[in-house]
Amino acid sequence: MRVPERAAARQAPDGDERPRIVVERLSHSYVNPQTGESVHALDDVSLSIEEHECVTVVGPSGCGKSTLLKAIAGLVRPTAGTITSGGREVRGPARDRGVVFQELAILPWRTVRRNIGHGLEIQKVPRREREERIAYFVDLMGLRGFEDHYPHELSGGMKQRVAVARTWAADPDVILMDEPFAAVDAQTRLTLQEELLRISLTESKTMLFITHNVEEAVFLGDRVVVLSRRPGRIKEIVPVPVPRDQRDLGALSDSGNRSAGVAAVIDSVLKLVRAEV
Amino acid sequence: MKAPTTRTTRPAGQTPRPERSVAGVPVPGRRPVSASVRQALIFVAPLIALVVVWGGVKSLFGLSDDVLVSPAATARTAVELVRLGILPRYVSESLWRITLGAALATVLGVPIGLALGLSRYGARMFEPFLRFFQAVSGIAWLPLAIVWFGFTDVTIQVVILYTAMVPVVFNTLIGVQLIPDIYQESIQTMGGGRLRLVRDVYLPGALPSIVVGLRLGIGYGWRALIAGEILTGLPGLGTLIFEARRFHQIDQILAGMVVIGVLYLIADRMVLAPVERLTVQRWGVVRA
Repeated sequence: MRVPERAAARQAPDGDERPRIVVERLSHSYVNPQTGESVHALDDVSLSIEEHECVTVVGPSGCGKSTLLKAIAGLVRPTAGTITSGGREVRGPARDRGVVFQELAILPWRTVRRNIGHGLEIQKVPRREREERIAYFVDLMGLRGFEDHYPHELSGGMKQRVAVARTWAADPDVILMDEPFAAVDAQTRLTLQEELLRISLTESKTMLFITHNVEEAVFLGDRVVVLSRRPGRIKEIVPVPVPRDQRDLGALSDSGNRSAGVAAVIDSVLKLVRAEV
Repeated sequence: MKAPTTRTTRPAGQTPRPERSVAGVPVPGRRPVSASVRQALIFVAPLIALVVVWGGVKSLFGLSDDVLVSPAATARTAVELVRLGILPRYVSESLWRITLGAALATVLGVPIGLALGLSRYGARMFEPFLRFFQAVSGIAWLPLAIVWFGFTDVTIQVVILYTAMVPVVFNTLIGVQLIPDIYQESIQTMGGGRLRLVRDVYLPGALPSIVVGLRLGIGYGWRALIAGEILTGLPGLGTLIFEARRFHQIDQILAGMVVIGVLYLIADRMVLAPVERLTVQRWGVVRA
């Protein structure tokens, strides 16, 4: 299957080695509308994400992981600090930064096909090219035969595949994922993680992946950012020495066939996270 | 099987629909046909019961024709009114008025409801306002409308529009507010602007609620129409039954009332229910 090459044209010229996403001294506080309490979610977070890199973020619940992602997406305006994407300051949501949300964000009134093609429709991509790309992602995510189904006719795992395919098909430069597999069962989760790894290798993208699952973070990431308890600060950034294309599901299962390098990273990240819970 | 007998007056949109497959009653062979026959029976049964009770009361208490006319006599009068061309003319007048009123209420009410639901303060500012107007029935506006516009079609239209629009605005507003923020955010991160949001998120997302508003609005509007016709005296079903009182033509009054009720039922079943089936139920937003 021919991959319609669109991202390539937008790649930074050689020699430009500026990181794709730069987060500088980001802090964020907000007032919880229910309790009226002031919440200090993030404190002085600085982070760079290189072109085509996958950075995963782990941390205890409520540590501001999602706030960090929403700020980069432009859906939350941070109290202090700056974020740039491709050298331009982030002022709001835009299509260079696609998001896969934790909750089901695909539209119930659109079929699988029309959900996946939604971003392309917004970009006014001609019908033929759109159909081609939809077909490609339908195949890649194992959704063949369900193109004309409505989301309520799909299982939770399949809905999340549609959400992933929709974001990927729109071809953003950066893909931000907020615990996308938190709501699916363990078995589906393994499949989705493997599929995500595969898709991230075929369609090279800059990725930020939020999770509270350490194995998942290590399995998918080039670097793992460990956040502290609230207010979230960067506690440590742990590189994963095994290249992404040499990983397989063994890294995720509890059996002994985890590669030694991955296992060691999982252990050290676990220790860091446990200290925060 | 629970037949939805007397529940037809519930807020529209929640009319319980009979289940297609009934446990314990296997229907072999041509199931689609017998299923639709069953559906039709369930729809008609309570109406037949009403007619039976009506006839029963008449003969049981020996009521004279000055008080209550039998269903058969009423039917004969209806046929006669059709033959004379009066009923068709009056029905078409009334139907035209309600259609125009409903169309205007939709065209004006949905955008207003959307705008209020989407603005941060709009809903909060206008809610008491809307509730106020919900309490002042359309009929209460008739005296003022007659002073302003006379005994004309404009008076009737104003009252229908007012009556039908309030539930449309209100339900559209609520429908928009109930849409999860995440739908909007996901469109924005794909580069969708305001127009996209309205077209792809707010309108379809609010549609279940809009249909409820329309059903209520047309129901209320239909009542306001009859009242408006009675007061203005313009040809229509309201005038038909009101004029009949002069000579104690109870048969004509009853025939007119039956037609008023049946026409609304038909409109609801033929127009609004299919809209709902094609959209909301197919999307799984509301359980069929």
